[in-house]
Amino acid sequence: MSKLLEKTRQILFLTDFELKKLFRQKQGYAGLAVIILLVALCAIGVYLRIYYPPKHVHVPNKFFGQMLKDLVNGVSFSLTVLLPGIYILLPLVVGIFAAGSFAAEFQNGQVRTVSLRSVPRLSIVLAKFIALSFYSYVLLGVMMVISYACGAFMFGATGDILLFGPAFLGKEAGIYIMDGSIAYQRLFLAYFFAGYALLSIVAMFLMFSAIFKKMTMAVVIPMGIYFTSYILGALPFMESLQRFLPTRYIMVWKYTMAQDIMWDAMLSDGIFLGLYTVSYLIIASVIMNTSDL
Amino acid sequence: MSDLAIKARGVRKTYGRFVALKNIDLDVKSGVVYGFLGPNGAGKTTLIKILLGLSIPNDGEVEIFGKDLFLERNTILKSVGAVVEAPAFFEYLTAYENLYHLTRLSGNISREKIEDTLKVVGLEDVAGKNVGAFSYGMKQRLGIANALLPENKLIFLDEPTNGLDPHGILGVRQLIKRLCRESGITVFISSHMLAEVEQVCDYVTIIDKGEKVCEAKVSDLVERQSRIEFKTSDVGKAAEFLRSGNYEIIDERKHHDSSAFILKGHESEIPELARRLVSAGIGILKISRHKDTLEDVFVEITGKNKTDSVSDRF
Repeated sequence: MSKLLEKTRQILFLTDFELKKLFRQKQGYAGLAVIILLVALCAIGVYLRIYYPPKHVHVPNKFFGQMLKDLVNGVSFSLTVLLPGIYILLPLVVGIFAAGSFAAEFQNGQVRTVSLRSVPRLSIVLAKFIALSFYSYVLLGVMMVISYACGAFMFGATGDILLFGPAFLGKEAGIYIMDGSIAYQRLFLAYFFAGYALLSIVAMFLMFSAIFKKMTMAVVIPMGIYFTSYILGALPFMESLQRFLPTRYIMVWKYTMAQDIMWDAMLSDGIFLGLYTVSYLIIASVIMNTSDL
Repeated sequence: MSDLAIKARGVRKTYGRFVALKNIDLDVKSGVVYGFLGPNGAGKTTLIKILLGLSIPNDGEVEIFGKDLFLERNTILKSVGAVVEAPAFFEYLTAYENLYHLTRLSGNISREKIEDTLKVVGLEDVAGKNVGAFSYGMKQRLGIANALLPENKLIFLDEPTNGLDPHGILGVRQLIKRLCRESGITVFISSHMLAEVEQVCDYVTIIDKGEKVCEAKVSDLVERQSRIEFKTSDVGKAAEFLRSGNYEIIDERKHHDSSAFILKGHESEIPELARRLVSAGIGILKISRHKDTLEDVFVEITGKNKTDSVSDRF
């Protein structure tokens, strides 16, 4: 029992240390900067589409501008920002930070400095995962707050929201309107499960950091795998491969966008995503335990 | 607690086909400064990493303070500190923060204790500065402070004076001696600097190409050879005299207009030799007992020659 307490205490201290490191580095705020940039660009894009539509837009699409004006608000704008955020921006930011906090520390010898203390190596991996997971949720939280505030200020705070079928609901085409009464609930759920998906990205980058122990390799290889999977996942004739791609389950948060949340599909994808995450962490821990530091 | 701080038996480490360490045995008594000497690439850092559980040997057993390293590493590391290779800290944190977060992992630590230790290594004035602004020498001293905390009884220092200026070197050497003398801390130093080991260490193990070639008390090692040094300007005459008198000449060190002969012989033979040299009309510039330096011993033991190019020796 006392050993368990001791280990828990060490993981807490290590996590505290990791968080301190993350938030004390100036580059730790780079993630926030790119989120602000993304929100700003999205806001400009939507504003221009509503108030200065392109002149070549054909007649039916002119109504789309009006629809946007009526149905875009803080919640729908925040969900719109989440799309590019979770596909590309956040995996990029979180992945680089994960590699920076592990592979770069291998490379520079800090992992050895910490390993000279009385801590199991497994705890070091776990603490990094916990701290980076927290950091991922902080980034998502900031993205949600900033994008909601920006959307609410520019387009209104509440009301029914507009969802684009292909983007939010997979293969279903068309435009859907979600009732304003459930919009906030869905916004929180979408961001929460997007965070859950980011954990697998964190774990994947930690695994490759443990394997390569060099910053460049620990960024390039998993990034290559992620984007390759993402591209293959988008190709219709790659259907039989898609279920095995790590990116297949990252979009687990989209199930919260359906009129009735698709809990079964969400549970199934969530379990697969969790298994991927745990497998990455186990591999990282085994490699860490058997590596010469 | 065992009288031995470190006990290693049959430690062997290979990297592919390359054998880094060949069956190394080691006994390091508690409360001494122990030197681990060898040319670059001899396997010093590899052994230190194994003794700290950072690297896994192919064979061998290691006990630290009587505890099996591979079974009780985490318990052992509560009283063991080290600087291995270069000191690596988190540059965006202050010296104090680095020590606080690292030491906390080994046990409870007070602010006073950290501040005292920073004082010991002479960094008390820069405790609040980010490590990124430190010179290499300051990082080296911070590394030593980290190795000392919380209250470590055994510290490993891998090339501790690397990158330090002469004052820094002197300071670290004095610190090591003081730690051992005043606090009873066992210090295990690896170095390729012979003078350093000779000045600081009580015991030394010499390693070459992964093999232990000598283990002894430093004072015994430098005293063990009985030699007489005799310097004269009558070089030819002296050489003839020594050869005909069956003196064993170990070395002849030529100077501008004189030579120093290193002869095999005990200190007690000096008066008789001096008398005979005077009788033979040979002028004596100097005659004394020749004390080996560790460098002489090292060269002799590792079979390398002082005339070898530097890269061949170190």
